[in-house]
Amino acid sequence: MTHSAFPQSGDSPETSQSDTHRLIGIGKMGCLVSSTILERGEFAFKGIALNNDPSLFEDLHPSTLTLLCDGGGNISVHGNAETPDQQGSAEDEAYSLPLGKSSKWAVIVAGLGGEFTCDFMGRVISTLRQQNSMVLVVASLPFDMEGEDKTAVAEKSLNQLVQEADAVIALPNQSYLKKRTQSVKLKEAFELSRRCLTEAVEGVWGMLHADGLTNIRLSHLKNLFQGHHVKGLFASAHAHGEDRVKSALDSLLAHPQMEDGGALKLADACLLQVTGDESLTFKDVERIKRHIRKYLPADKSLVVGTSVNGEMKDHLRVSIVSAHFSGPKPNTLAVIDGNPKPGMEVFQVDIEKDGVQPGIAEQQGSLDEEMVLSGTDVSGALNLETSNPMMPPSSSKRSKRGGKPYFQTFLNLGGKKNGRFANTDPTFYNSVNLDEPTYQRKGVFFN
Amino acid sequence: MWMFKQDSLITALEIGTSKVVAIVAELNESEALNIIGFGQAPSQGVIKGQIVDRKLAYEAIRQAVKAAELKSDLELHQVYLGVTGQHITSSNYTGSHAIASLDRCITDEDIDDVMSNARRFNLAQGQHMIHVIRQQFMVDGQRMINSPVGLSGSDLGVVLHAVQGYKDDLHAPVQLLRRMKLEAENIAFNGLASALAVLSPAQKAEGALVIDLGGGTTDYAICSRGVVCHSGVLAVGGDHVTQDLATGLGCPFKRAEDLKIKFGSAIVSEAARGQVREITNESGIMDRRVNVENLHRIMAERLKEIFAIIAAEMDRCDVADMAQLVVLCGGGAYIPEICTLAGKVLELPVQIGAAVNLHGPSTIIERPEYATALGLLKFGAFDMVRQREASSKIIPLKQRLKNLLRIDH
Repeated sequence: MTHSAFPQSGDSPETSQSDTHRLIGIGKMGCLVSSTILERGEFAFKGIALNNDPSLFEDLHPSTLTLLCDGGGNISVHGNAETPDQQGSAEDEAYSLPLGKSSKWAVIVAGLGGEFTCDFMGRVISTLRQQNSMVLVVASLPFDMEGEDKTAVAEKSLNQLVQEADAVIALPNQSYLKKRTQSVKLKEAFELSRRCLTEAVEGVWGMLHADGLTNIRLSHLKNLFQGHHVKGLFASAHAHGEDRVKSALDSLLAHPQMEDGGALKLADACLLQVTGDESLTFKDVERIKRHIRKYLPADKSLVVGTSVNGEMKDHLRVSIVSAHFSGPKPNTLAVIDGNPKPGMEVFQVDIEKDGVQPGIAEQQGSLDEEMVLSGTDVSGALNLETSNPMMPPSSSKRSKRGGKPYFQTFLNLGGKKNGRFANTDPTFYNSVNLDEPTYQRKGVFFN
Repeated sequence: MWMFKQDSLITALEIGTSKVVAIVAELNESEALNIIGFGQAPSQGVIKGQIVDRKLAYEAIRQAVKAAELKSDLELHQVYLGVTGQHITSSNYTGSHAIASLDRCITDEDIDDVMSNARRFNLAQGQHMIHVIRQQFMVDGQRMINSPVGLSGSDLGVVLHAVQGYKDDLHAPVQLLRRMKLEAENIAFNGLASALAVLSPAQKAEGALVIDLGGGTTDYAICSRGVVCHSGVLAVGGDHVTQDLATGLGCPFKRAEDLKIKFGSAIVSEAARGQVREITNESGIMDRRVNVENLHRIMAERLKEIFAIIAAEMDRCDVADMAQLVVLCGGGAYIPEICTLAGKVLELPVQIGAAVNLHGPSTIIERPEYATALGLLKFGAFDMVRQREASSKIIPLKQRLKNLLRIDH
């Protein structure tokens, strides 16, 4: 497969294209999100929807080019949508898809996890490559409760995407639940995921497309997500009024993906876009940058882009994209009894001596008789294990140590962790928020 | 009634997280500082060393300054202001200068040039330099503390330790002072001020780490061979200990503070195991029982972490071997067994600091919580002598005071 030349630092989506960029939704989630973006009309996209269920097409924006996939893997133009112009595509190759007139940019949006998406994503990118389009993929990863099969399919798709697309932003759905209880309604969770995916596509495109003073470019995005950092976050917030910087920052940190800023602790790098009207000051940008910087580990980079849009009229928008380590989270706390995964931080607890010794689980299943501490949120003593997406659900509250009931007391874990420091700039050291009680972070047991 | 010469008066003001302290002193003819006024007020509107509520902070500062004015019978106009907070950072810079003269003899002009070269570091946008401290010279790579004037060499180098902070954060207290017609004569980093107060010249020469355990921040400075070689701020202090207790024991912050003072300890002693205290509420009614062992454990974890971070920072900056002694000051120095814990974590002998070379009531100069304000007085004395020297060239006095910390700013 021949990849198109990657844009140089001076390139931006605006500079060298004249035709409308393509927004391609694959699968139900992708189709709905792309349709929503077309309806909003903020960006001039040519919409393309690819799905195996024709009934979905009725709900999409009328300008969408709908492509139906049958059970045999054949794809055809569906309904009364306009006939695609095959100019520039390699029609003679059976592998190619009727994706319409070529464009410099193509944005693919999808919910990963479905077999359909997995099967056709590669073909779509391949066709786009043949048309010399640059491909940006924004995708969501399934919730844990959707099962291991879906997770495995999503991981497979993601690995494929990273190889083939110019930039991939994968947003784990599970992260939306971290601040919420597990009792969140299914419909609500999927709607939230859809909304956030829509926001991410618009936000990332806006970030790249902005007529900026200091631009964020595709090269930044690509560098951000190269290597093993395949999962990321996107959050955006806007505010207006007198203290719009503070309001925007508060809203940004309250975003479901941000975990009150804690999610940035695991970021390997971060892109920050600040957009405002003519009244945007250097101090505003500096203040936002400094605030975000405090959440990032000191050795991680922060790329800042700024743009002025006169139509925003006293509004300020702050968007952030970051890439995360795909490994387990360090220095975290939750309690389960079960088997640790390799690499997970383990504390061997000897209750009689009241000692807590950190170690690393080297082999799954080798530490049956020890309690495992991991995860991030300590939102309540009763649902600690469910707050940790990396850990398997606990089947029992009983310790396997001698078959005795497992008894552990944390002191008031349900309380607000930062207390009087909640409204101050957090104190981070080596990515650890020191405003949180030390004993909680270290998982110290009490009598 | 004016009892003192106005040009010999120094006022130190520390706007801390737990208290605001103003101390007035006179620098007499024999180079000694005599404390003549003292004012203190509980701090408000300050968290982690930084002003978060200007109105409350203004009132606390006003009370402390007013008390100092009453005590000294003076109207105060200028103060030396202590600053801290997590916006303050420090780093080391080097500069070099080629000796151009034919005989390769180093002159005062060469010293000025190399200092000027070393000062050309780039500050981040919005940052302000608070201190630039000369650490050592290097003549053709050979390190030396004392001035190399008169020596021969082809290349002169210097290492500077710089302390910087964000202008906005530094201006906040200065602007508050202006509202009450007080001018900040100069500002100084609290960590350096504390070191200036509690270290004797011998301790500075041998190497000592001064840790000021404040309410909102922990400031530290390491002196070796008579100069400051590293300093820093950790925006974690006694308030964090109290907040941990409040969270852990499920009680209000104020009550957790009382428990910390009454029953606190930096280590979990054998005597505390299983010990339960019954505590009363504001009305004097016994309303709950507190497990003292848990209380001590919560405190020990936090304090141990603070010392461990300082130790890690010393390792990171390659200055761990320079300290032969730890001197604790600040309100945290009163925590029982704090020296034991610090000694265990830092693996050095530990002592509680008291101001040296100051004259005044022992209730002030011997108390570790006033180390910063007392250090500010010394800093002010140095500053004042520099100004005097600039007009009257009193060289011997300058040299003596320069030996305090060799601060150039």
